[in-house]
Amino acid sequence: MLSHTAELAYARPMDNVPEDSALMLRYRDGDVAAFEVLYRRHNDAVFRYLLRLCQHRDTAEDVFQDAWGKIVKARDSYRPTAKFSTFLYRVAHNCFIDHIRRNKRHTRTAAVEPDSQPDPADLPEVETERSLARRRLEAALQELPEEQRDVFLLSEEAGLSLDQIASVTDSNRETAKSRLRYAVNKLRAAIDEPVRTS
Amino acid sequence: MTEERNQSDARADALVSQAYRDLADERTPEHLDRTILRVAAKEARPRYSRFVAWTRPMAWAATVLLSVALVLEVTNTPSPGVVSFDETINTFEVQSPEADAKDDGPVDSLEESVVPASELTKKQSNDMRQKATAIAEQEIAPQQPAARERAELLSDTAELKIKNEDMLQQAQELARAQVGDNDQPSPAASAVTEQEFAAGRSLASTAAFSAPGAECDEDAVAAPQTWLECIAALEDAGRDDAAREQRAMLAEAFPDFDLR
Repeated sequence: MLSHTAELAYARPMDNVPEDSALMLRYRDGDVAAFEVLYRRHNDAVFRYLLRLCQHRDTAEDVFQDAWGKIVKARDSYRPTAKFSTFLYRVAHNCFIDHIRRNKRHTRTAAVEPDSQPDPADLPEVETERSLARRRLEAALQELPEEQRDVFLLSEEAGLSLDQIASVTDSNRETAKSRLRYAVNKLRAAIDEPVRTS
Repeated sequence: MTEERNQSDARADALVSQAYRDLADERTPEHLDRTILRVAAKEARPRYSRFVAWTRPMAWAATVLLSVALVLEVTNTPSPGVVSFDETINTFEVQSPEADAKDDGPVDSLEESVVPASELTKKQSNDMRQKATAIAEQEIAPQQPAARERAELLSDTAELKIKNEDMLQQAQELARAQVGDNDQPSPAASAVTEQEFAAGRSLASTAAFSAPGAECDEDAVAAPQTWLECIAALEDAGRDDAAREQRAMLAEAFPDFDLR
């Protein structure tokens, strides 16, 4: 099993590739290829963050497009004063908040994702414990309070530290730490419960 | 106890994280990737073409250059009403007040007032000289009375020269009358004529180039007799006014002398 740090490394640039800030600065100077590298490095994680946060695929796509559009427009005023991923997820977080404010009837109705549908091969009789845990985790994530889910996703998808999470969510470090602990405990309980019952 | 709890939490977090890794395998839809990359490429294009980008600095440079040229031209323009003669290069410049009124126009209009004399006809040149002389007289006369007096003296001198020429002609006619009908005057008559002419020329020259009121030189006025002879010569030359004036001066200087 990989350590927690090693698992989060997927979201971070490798040592021999340009840093995100350098790529953004190159894009600011007109290098479109640099932006494509930057986008390919973060697009899936940001999409999953917004998908879990919005709990609706179409909404997540709208917010995703809105967030990257703002990143593109902000290239002239971009200053590498902070980690690029912090800047990126802060923009995405704010776009999600704006979307909620614009659409008061934001519902918690979970959109059924194709990937979360039980595979034909995973019929109840052959469904493994792992796939059951996965489905329960999905359900537990949807049941989490929005703030706790936000903090958990920022930790898992973006690999942000508690300080960075606090910065993105406009809260302090202790609040972010508390929310993350509550979220992890609830998810762990959701995963462990069937095992215990079984 | 606390360390065991932390290790337990870390193991539990790893389990949750691994479970989430297995769960979260969604990828961004292709159409979203294409849309965002297209927007990014469009926004990265320069807003203005190269030509338009150069327009503003070029306009600034042109404005600065024109301003500097205008200031230099205005600084080097002579003051109005200045007359200058440059005979060595045969160029005649007149900066009249009328020409000065054109100074507000293009720079070329300034050069129109400076025309080489060789390019003008003689009549145009004379007209311009007369105009310049008139302007010079207007400018100089009020300020320099001595120069004006000198100009008047030169004008009188020219008149004396003309009278001298008349005297020469009269002497030649007199010589011809003395030699009778001979076409060729005798050497003696010619010599007399030349002597008379020379004497008349000398007298005329003396009179012409003496100051007004001093037709008779110092030697002549030293004695009343010589002064009277000088007066007689003036009368013979037809200069009655000067003779009358000399006669009055003689009477004043030598009241006891009998002028008759």
